[in-house]
Amino acid sequence: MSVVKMQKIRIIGLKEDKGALIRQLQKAEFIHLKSFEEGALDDYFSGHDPENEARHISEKITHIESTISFLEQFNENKTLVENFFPARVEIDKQEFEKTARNFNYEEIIKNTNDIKDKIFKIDDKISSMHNDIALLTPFKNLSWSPCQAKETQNTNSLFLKGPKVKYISLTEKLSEKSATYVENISADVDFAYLMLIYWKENEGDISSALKEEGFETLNLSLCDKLPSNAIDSYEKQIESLLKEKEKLFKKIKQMLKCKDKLMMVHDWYLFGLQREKAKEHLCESETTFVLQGWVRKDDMNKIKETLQNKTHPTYIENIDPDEGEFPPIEIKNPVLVRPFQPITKLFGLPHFGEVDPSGFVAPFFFMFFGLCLTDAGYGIVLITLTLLAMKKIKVGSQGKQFLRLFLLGGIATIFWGIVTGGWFGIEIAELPQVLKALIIINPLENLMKFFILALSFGVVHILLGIGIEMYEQLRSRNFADAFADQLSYLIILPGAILWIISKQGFLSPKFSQAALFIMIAGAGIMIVSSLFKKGRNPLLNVLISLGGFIWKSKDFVGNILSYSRLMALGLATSIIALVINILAGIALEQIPYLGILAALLIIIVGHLFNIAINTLGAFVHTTRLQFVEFFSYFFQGGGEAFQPLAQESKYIISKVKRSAASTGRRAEGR
Amino acid sequence: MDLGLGLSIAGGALAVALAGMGSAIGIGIAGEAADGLLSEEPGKFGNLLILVALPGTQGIYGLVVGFLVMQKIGIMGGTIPDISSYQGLQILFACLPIALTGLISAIHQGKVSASGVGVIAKQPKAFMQAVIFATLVETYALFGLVASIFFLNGISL
Repeated sequence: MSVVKMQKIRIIGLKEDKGALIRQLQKAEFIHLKSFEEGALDDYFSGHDPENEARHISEKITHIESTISFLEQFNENKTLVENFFPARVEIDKQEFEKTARNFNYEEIIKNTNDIKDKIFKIDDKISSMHNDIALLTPFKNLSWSPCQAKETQNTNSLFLKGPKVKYISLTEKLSEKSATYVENISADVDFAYLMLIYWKENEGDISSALKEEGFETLNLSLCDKLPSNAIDSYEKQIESLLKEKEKLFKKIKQMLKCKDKLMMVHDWYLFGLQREKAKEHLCESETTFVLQGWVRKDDMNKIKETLQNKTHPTYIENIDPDEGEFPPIEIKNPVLVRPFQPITKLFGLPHFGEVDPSGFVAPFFFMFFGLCLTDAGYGIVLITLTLLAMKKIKVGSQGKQFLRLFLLGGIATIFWGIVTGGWFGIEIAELPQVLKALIIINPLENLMKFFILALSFGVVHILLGIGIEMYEQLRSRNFADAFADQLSYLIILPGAILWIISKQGFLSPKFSQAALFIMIAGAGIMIVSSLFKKGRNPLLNVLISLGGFIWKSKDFVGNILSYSRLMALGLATSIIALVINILAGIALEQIPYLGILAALLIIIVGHLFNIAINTLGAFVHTTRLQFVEFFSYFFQGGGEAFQPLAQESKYIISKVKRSAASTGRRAEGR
Repeated sequence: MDLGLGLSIAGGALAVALAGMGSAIGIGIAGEAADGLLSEEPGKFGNLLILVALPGTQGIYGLVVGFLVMQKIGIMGGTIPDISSYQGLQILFACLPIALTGLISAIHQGKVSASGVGVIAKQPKAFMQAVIFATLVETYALFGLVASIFFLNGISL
């Protein structure tokens, strides 16, 4: 439950060891590199590495990537799951290195590009033939080849296409000119297709007549066969081209087998690119290089061991951060809290000096998630599906954390399901005695109790938020602020709630008096301690504190009521589950013979749908309660993430089990 | 007595219909935007599905209230109690919070989701944040649901 302590260091080594050292740092995931500010080093280290290969490598990566995604289009074995989680390759490190070094990927890329070109050309040819066929089809009954309609000394001939309705008016216009010959060759629904022979001396009149009536000339002069024969031959050619294309597709499918290897090569170069990019941070002299960056304090010994047991000398020193520079943030938590870290990261890492809220997020997220589903049956299904996914789907470490989150959420769901008697929406009266005995609240009958339960969680959550802020104020020695703006709230708010409860008649009237005293005591603390606040006039400070409290009290009410969503979501889940069962019951009764099948279908599809949509709802609304209601009291976020130079893969997942710390770290990179 | 039953049914029907209409429109808006991105990047189907599904919940909340009304007036089997016109009106009005908040919030949630599609086109990593924004809209449908449930619970037949 904490932010990892960081130390800034500087490493100086010999130029000839540079490559090896960077490689080692990358493998060990030690250091978050920082560039040197201008003038931070002596002139001695003024050089930069001229031979940076970043551009060269990233070109290669682009080629490989486009090849992979081209091949991927033809992957017919893609499962439904892969639509959600892109496939990855799981492999151990040694095999990965061996494959990546030896695999002749350039050939694959070349072949793929060849095939791509060929397919492109074939498609081009086919589409141009289709155009020709479309052009010739109206003339397919012609008993001579169109190229015979040639220009003579005095006449010219044209093939025409135009609106059928204009045919008569066109022939009338044309007949005004002497000796024009029009033949109606064919017609379809909208258009008439004609051949026209005319005297060249009439050319101007003819073309304007054609324009007026909307007829266009068709160029068929290239067709030296009978149109019907030409169409036949085109169709044959298209058929053979399609066969050729089919063959190419088969080749591609063969090459799909290399996809995994291509992915390895891709990541191999990606790691190389990451190293080259890292090299941009360092400075060089003639014979040495220097780099600086942040490392975890706990890693210091390991770093020294790793780097200094080499035969070549390296010098490591601790340095102070630059002015205004804060260390990058990494959060590290016990195993059970770790699945909730992504939630914190979604909002933003704590900035330097802030508390990591993950540990506080964990129990509430857990409880809220379960409350939104409140069905033990659904919890069991959720856990089963998650376990299945953990086994079947290869996901990166962040994906694994998310799956663990759902696993924990499933457990909470079972808990709340048992407490509220939710078992696949079965009516409580029909549950077995054992399960009935475990029910503490029946939400449908005890609506108010369930509501108050949800709001109480809200109260605790918000008070905790204020408490954390108080802790932070105390830690930074703002005692007066902590007492005036947090401690007083922590006293007044519970007092107010106690007062409301006793006024409502849930407690004896004595409590309402006690509650009044508590509130007055809180207000007293607020007034007295704001007198000691720094800056400004003490009386003004008192007014500001009081005004602030009144202003914020509408937020308290709003924020606490916002937790009623827990009840609403929980009820929605269980009522829809009930509806599904009733529908299934109706199907069973009303549909003869097939009723049982229909009922089963309704039950399975209906409940799965209900689980899916409500799990989504549970996740997003629970997250929102953390971000909007809880965090607003103490957490700003916005810290820079600790991103050590590491092997950030895109396609491969290393089979070697990582240490716990490194799992958390990798989750952050993506 | 018959008018009372009619009014109650009108209430339940409005809850289901209006909230459902809102969801249909909202999903329509988000779905169109998602299809646009899907044609470019089919790999984002999973993320897009979640964004498109978000405005669907209002319809479910409407159905929940509709069901509570059905149960209350005994239309799901059992005897139908006497419902006076006033009681019928009470039930009708009790249904309005979810009917109206459902209708409007689903449409606007659809718009926010559609913008969220734009976000994941440019910044795939900001996906969850886009989802959270869309969820902020849904809050008010949830409050509508809470209010309707309490109103219905409070009406005695």
